[in-house]
Amino acid sequence: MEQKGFTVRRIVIAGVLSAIAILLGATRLGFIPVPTAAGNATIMHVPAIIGGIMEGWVVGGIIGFIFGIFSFLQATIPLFKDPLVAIFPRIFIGITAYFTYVGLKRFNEYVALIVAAAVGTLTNTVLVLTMAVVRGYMAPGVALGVGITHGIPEIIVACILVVAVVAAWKRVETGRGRSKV
Amino acid sequence: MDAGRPIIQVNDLHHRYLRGTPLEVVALKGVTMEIYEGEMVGIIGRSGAGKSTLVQHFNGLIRPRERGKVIVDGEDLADPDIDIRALRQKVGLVFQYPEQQLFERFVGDDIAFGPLKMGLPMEEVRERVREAMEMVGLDFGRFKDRYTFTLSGGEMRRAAIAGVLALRPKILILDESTSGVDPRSRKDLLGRIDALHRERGLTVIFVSSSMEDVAELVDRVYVIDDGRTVMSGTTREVFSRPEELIRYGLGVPQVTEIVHELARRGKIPFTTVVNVQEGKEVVWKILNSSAT
Amino acid sequence: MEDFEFLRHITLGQYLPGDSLVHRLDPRVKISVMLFMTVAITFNVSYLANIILLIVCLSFVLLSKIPLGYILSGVKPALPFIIVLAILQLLFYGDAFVPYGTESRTILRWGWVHVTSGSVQLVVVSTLRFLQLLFLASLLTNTTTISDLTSGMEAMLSPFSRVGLPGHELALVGAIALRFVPILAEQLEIIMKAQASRGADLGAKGRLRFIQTTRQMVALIVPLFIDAFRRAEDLILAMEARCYVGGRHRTKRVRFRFQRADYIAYVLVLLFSAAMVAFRNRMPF
Ligand SMILES: Nc1ncnc2c1ncn2[C@@H]1O[C@H](COP(=O)(O)OP(=O)(O)O)[C@@H](O)[C@H]1O
Ligand SMILES: [Mg+2]
Repeated sequence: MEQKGFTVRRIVIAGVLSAIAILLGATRLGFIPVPTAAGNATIMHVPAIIGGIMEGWVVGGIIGFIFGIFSFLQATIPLFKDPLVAIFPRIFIGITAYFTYVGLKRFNEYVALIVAAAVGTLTNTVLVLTMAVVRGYMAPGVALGVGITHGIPEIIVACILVVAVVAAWKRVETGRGRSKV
Repeated sequence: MDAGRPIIQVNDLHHRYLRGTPLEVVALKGVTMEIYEGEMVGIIGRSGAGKSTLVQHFNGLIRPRERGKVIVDGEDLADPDIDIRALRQKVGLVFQYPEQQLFERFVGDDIAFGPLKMGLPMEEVRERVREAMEMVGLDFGRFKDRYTFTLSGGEMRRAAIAGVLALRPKILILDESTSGVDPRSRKDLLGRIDALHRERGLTVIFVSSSMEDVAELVDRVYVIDDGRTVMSGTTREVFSRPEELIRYGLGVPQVTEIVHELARRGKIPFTTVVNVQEGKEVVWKILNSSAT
Repeated sequence: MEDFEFLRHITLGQYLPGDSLVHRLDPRVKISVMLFMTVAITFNVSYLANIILLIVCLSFVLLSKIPLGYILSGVKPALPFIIVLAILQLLFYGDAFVPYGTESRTILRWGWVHVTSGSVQLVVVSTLRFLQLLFLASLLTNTTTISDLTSGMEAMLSPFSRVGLPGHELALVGAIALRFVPILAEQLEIIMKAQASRGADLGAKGRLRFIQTTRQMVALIVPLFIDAFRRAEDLILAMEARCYVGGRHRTKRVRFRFQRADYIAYVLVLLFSAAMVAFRNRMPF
């Protein structure tokens, strides 16, 4: 059933989801104030995960790539003004999310969504921090600390968002459900 | 038009968007107006004049930060400590494109959003939703489980207005919320709003680009142009100055214009009519006098 | 007080009208300059190279007549974070960074704190590098309209289509993304204002801030996604209805032509970047 190549649908969905990623990065909305001193966790990678889950790994990869370019262009901290930290790791977010989702979908749709969101988020966190260490912006210990304080809330929020968005959209398409009142 | 106490006072209000960037836009540069409790007042002005910016000050979506003062029901909106949620419940704002204002998936949920946020019990929420939907002419049972985006343009506007009415506001602001609806539906909706105003004493601020609707509905009008109040007065006073209105990119209702034209051709002394009923009477008078 | 002015925070892709030399350059040249310079910046770690690069980037900004204060104002909110990271880098990262051809001397050692000439250089260089790229990015985004940027991108990517890579499609994705950012920003502002108007308590404070703001964020972002999907469906329908097939056979709306200034800028920056990469290990300090 899977269609190959670039359909109009894939091009448009990739573009629109990239726009959300850029928007989340450009406004403070993409940041979750974490109750630690370490600063902010981010949800900017969520569109790449959703794109990967909905339209395949190519779309997920492209969204991550475009989001990476923008986070590079727009960075206000030195760490992300390095293309090897800002762009390269982001390509893989949607790709790992897609393969996780496809692998688990036949067991349970929701489990697949949640695990895919977690894997996509981990891909982002781990690869970005690894590159940060490799490029000399952070000591390994600091990176580990940041990884834990940011990674955990990021995973939680990404799971919530991915499930909410994908479920909401699928329900819209099938037209089921009732209001609360 | 029993002028109660002033419920909104605006004095020399200024506002800039994108302040401190090279793209700064000066949207308001000196608006002054006073709106009285229980009245229905119109705000007109060409597109880009600053009407939406102005009315967003009334429920604190935009706060006065530079020159000027906004006082709503005795509270100074520049004061960061006022209870902004209480204010927003008191001042209901329906946006310019109500279809963009619906953010929940189901009509019922969207209308219930306000009451739910107020922490009311479900029974009362349901009651308010039902009441609000009836006020705008949407059937509770038929519409509450509909997807918001499957509604027609007119129904969306009704739903958006219902969502605001469910807050039971003291002041209702309609920011061009009825433009672009088919004429019959619009007439019905405007009739319902007029009824709310007359029967429940709701203060209504009616922002519109339709001179006909303004003339039909409101007692007093403010004209905004280029971020300033440029005209104000009773509807009749304002529409008796067509040259000025044209200078501000506006006009007068067609029937008003016809009667002005008759006066210009010397058929009758200069009069300003504001609705078709009055226009009809003038025309009858001419016909009767020319018949004799 | 909450602030709904999202567009204000999007400094990227905000074209500032002007008539400077930089504004008039061909967008393909500007994109190439960005690429060449980024490579040069990424590969250079010495003090001298980074000072030279900073001067070059700064002169681009001066040529473009974009106010320096405007570019720097975007950094202000991140300043505390930048400083904390720089201090961490300085204090705890002593051994890890040894610039090519030098000995890393210890300057201070006290418990966990270990400051070396290497870590000092790292902090200074990454700050300089940051400024360079900040100026470059602004050069691209503040002096080029979105439509020029997308056409330029497409013109540069389309040769890849000939060898079977999806250059054209990639450019189209980029163009759609850029086109949708302001639309979605406006939609976001409307959703937020609509929720606030009806009593949503945005920007809550207090101990459970994380939970509260996450809930609010989900309430904002889910409708944003749904709205985006709906707009996407409309666009897909419109494109399919017009039998959009894309690719090689499409005629382009705009054909660019290099002017003399474009050739000069292109060649100069290419040579300069190549030299900076070639001599990266021969800088005296
Ligand atoms: N969010 C915004 N950001 C920047 N400029 C805006 C924004 N909203 C409105 N403006 C500008 O402010 C001016 C007044 O707009 P508005 O209040 O919407 O006028 P009206 O409602 O009378 O058409 C216009 O020039 C408009 O372009
Ligand atoms: Mg308006």
